[in-house]
This record gives sequence, structure tokens and C-alpha cells, in this order.
Amino acid sequence: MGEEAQQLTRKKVLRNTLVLALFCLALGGWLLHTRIHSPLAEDENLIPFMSGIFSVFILPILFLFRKTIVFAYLANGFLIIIGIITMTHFSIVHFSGPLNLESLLYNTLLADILIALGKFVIGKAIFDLQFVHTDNDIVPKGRYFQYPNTGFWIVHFVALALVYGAGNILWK
Amino acid sequence: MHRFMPYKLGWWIVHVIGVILLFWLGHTVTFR
Repeated sequence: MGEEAQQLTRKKVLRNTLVLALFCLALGGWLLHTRIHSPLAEDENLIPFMSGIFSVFILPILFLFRKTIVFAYLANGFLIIIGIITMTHFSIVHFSGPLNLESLLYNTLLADILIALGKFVIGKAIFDLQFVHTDNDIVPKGRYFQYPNTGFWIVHFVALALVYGAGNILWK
Repeated sequence: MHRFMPYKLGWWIVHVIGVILLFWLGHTVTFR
């Protein structure tokens, strides 16, 4: 391998920085989760605990390699969609007080949902970074609702929320 | 990067399993 191949490019430095950000957000979220719901207390808490281990220790590594980045991008996105749906569900079940802006901001898990959303955005940035080759790369138009564009995630967020909601409401 | 082709066998398997698991999750999680 030549000397040039071993040198770090600016793109790789940026990717590593974003992967570090992803790791920090995942670890922070995981610690918040384990503080509220100890996995030792209830069996149900094992699901967020296990997906936390995956998010913190495995996902950032999968984002580093070209062969696994597609899987990492999809797993990150879908874990966050499920997280947002369940946290919204939790917020609805435990909502108290009048329905106004203040209680929507502070009596719900909106803050936690926004942290999860930030993690999704960073994952998308790492994924999109692999297509950056020069300063003048043009983003192809159209196909907004197709993988791997943002519309794909919006469609899946709505679809997953509908299926989850149907399971919750229709099958008691 | 290989494309995950829509409406092919793999696509259907992933979507059917996904819908069943998610429906079950919505049924199981109550937060009460």
C-alpha cells in the first residue's frame, strides 16, 4: 500500500467525527434509558436495553465500513422511528395537565424524541458523506420518496406508526 | 451498492415480517 493510501483524507476525518457524535448521542440516550428503566427491574426494559447496546457499541462501527454502511443506515433509521413512536405512545399514556404548549413541551418526552431525531440526522449525514467526491457534486433531482432519500423515512415513519397504532387499538 | 429491489421476494419477506412484528409490538407495549 502506498503512502498516499494510508493518509487520512478530510472526508475520513469528518466521517470519524460524525461517528463519534453518533456514539456520544447513543451512549447518552442509553444511560438516560437505563437510569429511568433499569433492565434488572422489569423484563420489558430489556428491549430498549439491548437495542441500546447495539446502538452504542455496534452501529458506530458498522457506519465505518462501506460494506456495512447500508445496514447501519437502515438499522439506525428504523430503531429511531420505533423509538419515536414508542416515546410518543408513552407521552400520550402518561400525559397529565391541560393541553397547552407548556405541557406539550415539558410534560412529554419531546426532548428525548428530539435527541433521537438528532441521532437519525447524524446517521444520514454519515451515509450521505460517502457520495461526496468534490465540492461541486449535484444532488440528483426526483425520487424523494425512494430509498435512501428523506421521503423514504417519512413514508416509513407514517406506515410504522399506523401499524403500531393498529396493533395497540385493534388487538386488545 | 446492491439495490434492494421493490416488490421482489426479499422485499415482501421483510415487509410482511416487519408488519407482524410491529403489530405485535403495538399490542404488547402498554406503558401501564
